[in-house]
Order: sequence, then C-alpha cells, then structure tokens
Amino acid sequence: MTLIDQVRAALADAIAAYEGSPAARALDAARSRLDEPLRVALAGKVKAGKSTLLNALLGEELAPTDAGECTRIVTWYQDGPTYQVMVEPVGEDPRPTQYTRDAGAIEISLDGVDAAKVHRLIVQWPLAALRHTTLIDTPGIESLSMDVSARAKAFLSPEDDQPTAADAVLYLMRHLHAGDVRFLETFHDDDMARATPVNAIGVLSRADEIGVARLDAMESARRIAERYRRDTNVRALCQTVVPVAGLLAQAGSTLRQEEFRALGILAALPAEDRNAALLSVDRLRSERLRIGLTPEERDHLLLRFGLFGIRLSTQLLSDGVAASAPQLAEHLVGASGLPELRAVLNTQFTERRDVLKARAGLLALEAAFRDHPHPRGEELAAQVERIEAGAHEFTEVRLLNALRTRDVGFDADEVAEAERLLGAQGSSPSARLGASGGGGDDLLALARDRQASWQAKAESPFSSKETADACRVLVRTCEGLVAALS
Amino acid sequence: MSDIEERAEPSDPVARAASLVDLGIQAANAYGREDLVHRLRSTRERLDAPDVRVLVVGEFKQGKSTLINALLNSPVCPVDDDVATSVPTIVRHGADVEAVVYYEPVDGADGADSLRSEVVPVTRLADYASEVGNPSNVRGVAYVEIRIPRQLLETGLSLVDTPGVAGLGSAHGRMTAAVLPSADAVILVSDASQEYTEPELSFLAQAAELCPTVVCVVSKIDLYPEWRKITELDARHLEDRGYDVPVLPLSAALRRVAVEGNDAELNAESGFSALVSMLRDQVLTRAHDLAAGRAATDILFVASQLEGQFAGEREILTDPETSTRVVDRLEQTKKNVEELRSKAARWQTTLADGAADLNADTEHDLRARIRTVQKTAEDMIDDGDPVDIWAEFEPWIEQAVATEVTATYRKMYEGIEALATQVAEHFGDEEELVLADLLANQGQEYLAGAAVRDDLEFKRQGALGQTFSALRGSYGGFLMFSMASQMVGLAALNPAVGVLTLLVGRKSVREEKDRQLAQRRVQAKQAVRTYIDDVNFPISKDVRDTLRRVQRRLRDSFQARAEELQRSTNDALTAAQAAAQQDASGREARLRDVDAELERIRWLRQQAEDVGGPAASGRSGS
Repeated sequence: MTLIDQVRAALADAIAAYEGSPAARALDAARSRLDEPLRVALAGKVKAGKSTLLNALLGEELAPTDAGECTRIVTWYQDGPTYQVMVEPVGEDPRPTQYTRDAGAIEISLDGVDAAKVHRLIVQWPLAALRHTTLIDTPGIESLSMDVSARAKAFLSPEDDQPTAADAVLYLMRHLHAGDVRFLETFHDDDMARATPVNAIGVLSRADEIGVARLDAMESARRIAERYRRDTNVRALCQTVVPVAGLLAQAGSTLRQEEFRALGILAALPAEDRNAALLSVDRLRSERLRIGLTPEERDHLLLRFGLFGIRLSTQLLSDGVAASAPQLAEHLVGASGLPELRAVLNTQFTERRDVLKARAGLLALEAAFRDHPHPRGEELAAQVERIEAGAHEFTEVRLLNALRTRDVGFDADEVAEAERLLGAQGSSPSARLGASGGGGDDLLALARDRQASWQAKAESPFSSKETADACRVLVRTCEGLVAALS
Repeated sequence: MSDIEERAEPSDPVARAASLVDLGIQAANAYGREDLVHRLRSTRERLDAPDVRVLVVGEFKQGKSTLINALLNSPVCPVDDDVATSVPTIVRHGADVEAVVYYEPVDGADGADSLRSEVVPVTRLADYASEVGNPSNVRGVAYVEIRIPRQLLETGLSLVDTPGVAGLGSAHGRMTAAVLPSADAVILVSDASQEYTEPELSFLAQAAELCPTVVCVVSKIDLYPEWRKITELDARHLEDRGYDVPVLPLSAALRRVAVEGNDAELNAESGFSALVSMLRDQVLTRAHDLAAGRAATDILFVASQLEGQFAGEREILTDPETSTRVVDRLEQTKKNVEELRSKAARWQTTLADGAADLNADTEHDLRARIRTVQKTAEDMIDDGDPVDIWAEFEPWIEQAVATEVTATYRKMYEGIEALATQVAEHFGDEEELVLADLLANQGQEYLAGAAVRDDLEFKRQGALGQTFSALRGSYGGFLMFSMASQMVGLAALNPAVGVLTLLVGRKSVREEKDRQLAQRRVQAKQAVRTYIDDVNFPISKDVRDTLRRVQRRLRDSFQARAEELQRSTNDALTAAQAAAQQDASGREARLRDVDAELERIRWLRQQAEDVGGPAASGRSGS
C-alpha cells in the first residue's frame, strides 16, 4: 500500500469513529484534500509582485495588480468546470458572488460583506495551469495596514499545530531583507506541512528591476540568486532561489496582437531615437515624441511591460530575433525566468506531491485526536504513528531538512550527493543518482555502488551517531532504488 | 567637465563673518596680542571649511550611492546590482581625488582620538566599502573618506553614504538613527516602485525629531510609470503624520545622460537641480548662518579682551586721582587670574570632579535603562513561545535598546553642557574683576557662550535643542554605524529535532514539546543577554572615551582662556601704570588715542553683533 493510501485508510477509519462529531467534518475535508490538486501559496512583502507572478503562472491576466496594495484578502485560484467566483465570510460557507472582467483582471464584488470579515475568495476558472495546482494569493506582509499582514501570517502559519491550508509556498522577495528572513523563519517549523526548506521556494521577483532595467538585468539577477542559494541562512529556509521577471513573464504569457503592433512601431524607430524615447517613462509618454501611438497605448505598454520589457521587446524585434507575436511571446517568457521556475516547481513540489499531501492528512488526524479526545484515540493515534515511522518518504524529507539546517557530519560533496539521492533534483532514479543517461543496468550498478559507499560511512568508527543515522537513511534510499531498478 | 556642475557660493553671512575675522586679526596684531591672533586664525580656518554633513539613508537597493554619484557627476561610491555599500562613506571636497580608509580600533586599544587610517587608490575602493569586496565588513573598516574636487562641496558640504539597512527597523537602521543628531540634513531615499513602508515612516519620525532638515527623495522615476502616484502617496503619508518635509522625485539615470549630453532640460527633468537648490538654499545656508554666528561670538570675545586692556588706563587718564585705586585693583585682578592659571585653580577641580561624576552617572543611567529593557524582554519571553513572538520581538528589542542608548547619549550631552557652564562660572567671577566697569555684565555671557560653542560646537537646534554635535569630532557616530549587533536568528533557537524524533513515543511528544518550549525560552533569554552585552560593551567604551575627550578639550580651552585673560590683565596693568606717569598734556593726547581705539573696537563689536544676530548677542536658550 502506498503512503497516500495508508493515510487515506487511516482517515476513513477516523471518520467512521468520529461520525457525528465536529471533528468528522475537518477529517472529511482532509480526506478530500488528498485527491485535490497541490495547493501552492504565493507569499511575500507588499509589492513583491505576487499577483503579477500568479498571472504569469496562470497564463492569463486574472489577478488584479494595482500600484497600491490590492490583494488584501486571501484568494484561491482553482480549477473547476465553470467560471465562478465565491466569497467565504468568516465562519460561513462560501457563496457565489458577482464579478466583472473588463480589461484583464477580474473585479470581485464582496456581496456586501465587510472586507475584514471575508475569510477568503475563491476564483474557480477552467484553466490548464490549475489542473494540478491550486494557486493561492496572499496579502502582502509588512504592509502599512497591519491587519492585512496579520492575515497573511495567520494563513501561512496558523496558531497551534493546525495543518496549514497550503501544501507548499513560493516566497517572493525583491531582495532578501531581514524582514523576509524573519518571516520565513516564523513559518519555518519542523512540521512538514509548514514551510520547511523542502516545501518552500524563494523567488527573486521583479528581477528586471535589480539591474535597473538594463538589457543585461537578468544576468545580474541570476548572479544574485546564485549568491542567495549558497547562503547558509537562505538554504535553511528554502529549497532554492529562482530569479523571475514577473512583469515580463506575465506580458509574455498573455501577449496580445495590438501590443505586438505597438511594440513594432517603437522597434521601427532609428536606434538613436528609440533609445531617447525609452530613456524614461516620461520620455516615452512625452507629447513631443511623435509616433503613431496614443497616450493610452503608451501607458498601457508601460504598465504591461515595464521599461525593461519594452526595451527588450523592441530590441528583439529590431534585431529580427522575433518576427511574430508568438515568437516574441516565447522569447519574453524565456527571458523572464518563468520556465526555470516551472521546472523547479515540478521537481520540488509536483513530484513530491504525495508526501506533502500525506503529511497534511496526518496533521489533520493528529489535530483531531488532540482537540477531540475519543475512546479509540490511543488505537487510532498508534496507527498514525505507525504510518509516520514506517514511511521512508518522511524520513527522507526530514534528513533533507536536517542537511539544510545543520551539520550532520558530511562534507560539501557528501551533502550535495545526499540531497540529490533524497530527491532534491527530482524523484526519478536517474535524477536521484545524478546519471544523465545510461541504461537500467548502469543505473542499477550505480545505485549498488552508492549503497555500499554510504553503508561504509555508516559503519565507520569515525562517524558520530548522528552521521551514522543519516548514512543509514541514505542506504535505505539506495536499497529502494536498487529494488526499483532490478 | 560639463557645464552642469553645481557650485555652492560662499553665502553672505559667511563672507561677512570672514572679513570681520580678518579685521579682528588686524586689530589683535596691532595691539600685539598674538594669542588672540592665533585664536582668530583658527576661527577663520573653521569658517573657510565648515563641515556641513548630509546623511543619505534608506533601505538597501534604493539607490543611495547612485544618488551621490549622480549629484557629483562621478562614480565615487561603488555601486552594484547586488547589495553594494557595506561601510559608511563620507564624500567631501579635496583638491585631488583621494580615498582614505579608517579602521575600527582593535579591542583593548585606547583609540578614542585617532583611528588607524590608510590611503587607498580610489579604483580599489570597492575592496573596502562594498559588500562584494568587504562582505559584512570583515576588514573592520570604520568608515571611508573620499575627497574629490567639486564646487558643490567647496563650501564645506559633505555627503555620507550609509550602508543600506535591511529594513530600516533593523539594528543597523536604529544605529543610523543614533547618528542623526550629528547631521545637518538627512536625505531619505526610497524608490518609486512602492509607497513608504512602516519601517521607513517610523525612521522618518525619528529623523524629523533629531535632525534640522529632512529631505525625502523618490528615486528611479525614469523606471516606474506610476512614480507620480507613488510620490503623491508618499507626500500624503508625510502630511498625515504632520511632517512638513519636501518630497523630491529624482532619476539618477536621467541625470547621467543629461550631464553626458550637457542637456539642461533633461537635467531639470532628472529632478537633481531641485535637490541641489535644496541643499544649497536650505541646508548650506542654515549651516553657514550657524558658522557665521559662532565666528561672531569669537570676535565679541576678542573685542572684549581688547577693550579690557584700555579699561584701567582710560579711567586714570580721565581722572588721575583714581590711579592708585585702579592700579591696586588691577594688581588684585592679576593675582586672581594667575590663580586661575595655576593647576590648583578651582575650575580645574570643578571640571575634574564634574567629569568623573558625569561618567559615573552616564554609566549608571545606561545600565539602568538597558536593564529595564532586558527585564521587559524576559517577561515577554516567559509569556509566550519565542518561536511565535520572535518576528515581532527581534525588531522590538533592537528598537528598545537603541531608544535607550540614544536617550543616554542625550542625557550625557546635557550633562556636558551643564558642566561647561559650571566651569565657566568660575571665570565669570574673575572676568568681572578683569574687565572692571566696562564689561561687568556682558563678559560672563560672552565667555560662557564662547567656551561652549567654540569648543564643543554645540548647536541649539530642533524642537528639543539637542546638543549632540560633539559626536562629530569623534568616531563615535561611526562606531554606532558599524557596531550594530545582530540578534541571533530564530533558526538557531529551534532545537534540532532531527531524524530521531520518529523514535520518540507518541505520548511523550507533549512532554517533549513542553521541554522544548522551556529550552527555547532559556535560549531566547541567552540570546537577549548576549545581544545586550554586545551593545553594552562598545557603548560604555564610547561613553568613557567621549567623556575623556570632552574633559580634555574643555580643560585645554579654559586654560587658553585663562592665559588670554592673563595677557589682557598684564597689558591693562602696564598701560594703567604708564598712564599714571603721564603729565596733563600727555594724558589728553593719549585719551584721544584710547577713545579712538575703543571706538574702533566698538565698531567691530557692533558688526559682529549684526552678523551673529541673536546667536552672538548673548547665549540663546538656556
């Protein structure tokens, strides 16, 4: 029986035992959650670019992105058969509400509910991007209105040991401020369902602005992201750091024909005139710049692409690199860092989906046993404990966390190999073994070799108890690989 | 060099004060008072190069260094897309481009008065002042000084580039706040990507209270389409909080292109011309007025010394009958002044005792304040789980400690001022004798005023009349920048649970959790203690060093004053004795000369009072 099936069975058992009690409802929700798409929350400080990145990931301009603070309420974007928007007041069931969608972003009516009393908004939208992932937009932290910040914190790191609503977290930052570190630290917890180095990814958002919109801005951003990745403090907080130019990604994934035309007009200007026109946002908007673009069109371009996006697009167009709207869109998305982020999301979250889901289920069970004592509680708890102790997946994740947060007695190469074996770069046997090609037999031989090597380290008299324990986890992982490959 | 280079003309009061000082020097020379000449020469030097310090602050990556570079049309401050500035950098005028690195004193060394320094090539500055070349300031640099020939800086303006603070609410930010009072102006840089955040606004609140001029700059307006809206929002935030502070939108990128292409229109568009006028018309003018006022006070002192020379002589010349009485009185005065000069003078005792008391009081005050913070912190830890409260706790304790430290410094400077006044009173009595009828009432004021203003550069400014400027002569202010201790992160507080937790039985989990909570509290308290020690040690050392330095400077200056008084008395006595020997016609001729001299001195005094305004015609404030 797979891990997730074991958890499902335990939940079914508990639901039967708790039938009619208030705990049954929470457990039922936890059971459905096992089969739902993975919930990924976007968190970060005000203006970190959460909504913009969300739109880029959706491939549709759906979330409102104003210059003021816009996302004040936790908003869920999930797949569904029809287009529907629901408002869920605190302590009530969600109910459908009105929404309008004029130019891009949707505008949701709160249906007479005071914004402070809205628990969450649910935007159900049939989109391919939402099929396997539910995206959750959270209010900016450290915003001027403290209650908005508080909501984000309450959502991402609830009090007590309640399971968090999100399975994984994308943490957006413009630069790593002390505030970001503090925030990540608060919701960093040994419990897997909270953000741990394993289920959090740092995103250096608005990456184009790091290099003040120069054409090589993304290079700078990559260099800085690389420094953060190596930083021990950051390693302890998230799996990796990826730079993404959110605005560029959004514009690229939702590029319109008339935008392509407008960019074409700018690209057609002689280089000197174009550079002068793109010197500043005001120069582009200047009445003295006589080109076939209305003030509205210019404003639109600036808001959608930013100066960096316009500079890059016109460069691509005038160099002939992109000749059509789809080609330009592809280049923009490619330059934005979005593909890298998707790849990381896939290896870090999607492939680890079952472990993340199972853990959330177990946390729900623990909460039920603790808050609602039951005559069969001991027996049910023992079952949960058996699952937890027996699941090598959990052990792997714990070791991965441990490798990130402290010294277990491995050198740098050993840490790198251990992380890879534990699935940090993907869960497939070849990814775990770090083999680019080779047939099944090669992989099998490699797995046996690694197993022997870690076994030797485990038995070495120079290894401390903790080191030896860690090695044994890796031996067990290798055994699993050998079994799978045989 | 392009035409777009702003110059700062010497302002009117400074020029007038300078010519008056020159007249004073001439006069002192004419009367053979080389001691007063020497004194006025140093006044003149200070007047020629007043130190007008402008602090550029803000969260990191807001473009502080870029702003300075654009203002000076020169890449003097290292900039980088990644966090760049790691140590404070002063940029001031110099004939040649030059960079000097000042190192923090090594532990245990008595480095109060001078820091080890080293001249480095400007091109290698990034190795010392930037995060890349000197990460987390591993080289132990206290600050870097760059000199560059720029007309804008010629009249004493210096710009201080501060390390970007990781959240102005952090320890670094709080310590930046501690040096605010020593600055003539603060430029807060925040880019146009978003409106003010809470930490920025609370920093502004402090700046507005502690510093005479605050300028808010909205940077990178070339990049953000909505910069007008952001500027408006920022201005509204300031207005809502009742700060009358200008908000200037700027673009360093436009400025650079404007300078390259010598494009005055683009320069105006960059917003830099507005910033330059602001610095010139408000910051420099204000600082120059203060400097002129101080110079005027010096001249008044010199005038009174010169007048004193003639006091007895004129009395005798007018009425020879008084000669015995006047000579006796002057001889008595001479004795008093000699006593004043001796090592055993009462003022010496007052100063030594006062400084020792002040030292003890300040240390006690600091300890008591810090202890209160520690107590509150420990109560907070006991009331909650450190893991839950840490996010708020950490900035809270940093702010609380910084607030108390600032308060201690403020109290110490008030104490120093009171001490200086107390010592001056000894002179007041003697001076009354020296200057007899002529200066009976005013002298005391002049002397006390001069001693305080001159030697400590105390300024009365701002609503609270802070007297923090003594920080300036020392590295104290910069020590505050670089010492900023970091609280340990929360990760370190989390006891590693690790792989073995799996083996712990279900039942014992609750107990284990309680045990862990207790352990976290112990660790959190330990972290608080370590943090407080880390702050306490350098601060107490700085307090001791500052007081020792202040005491030394007060002693030297009062000593010099005593010597000047002695000179004046001796001259007065000699002149009086000579007058007593004169016959009637000689007396008459001499009286005309003396009256003419006195008239000239009176004119000088009148001029000085005009220049100095209220600052020179007696001590303002109390």
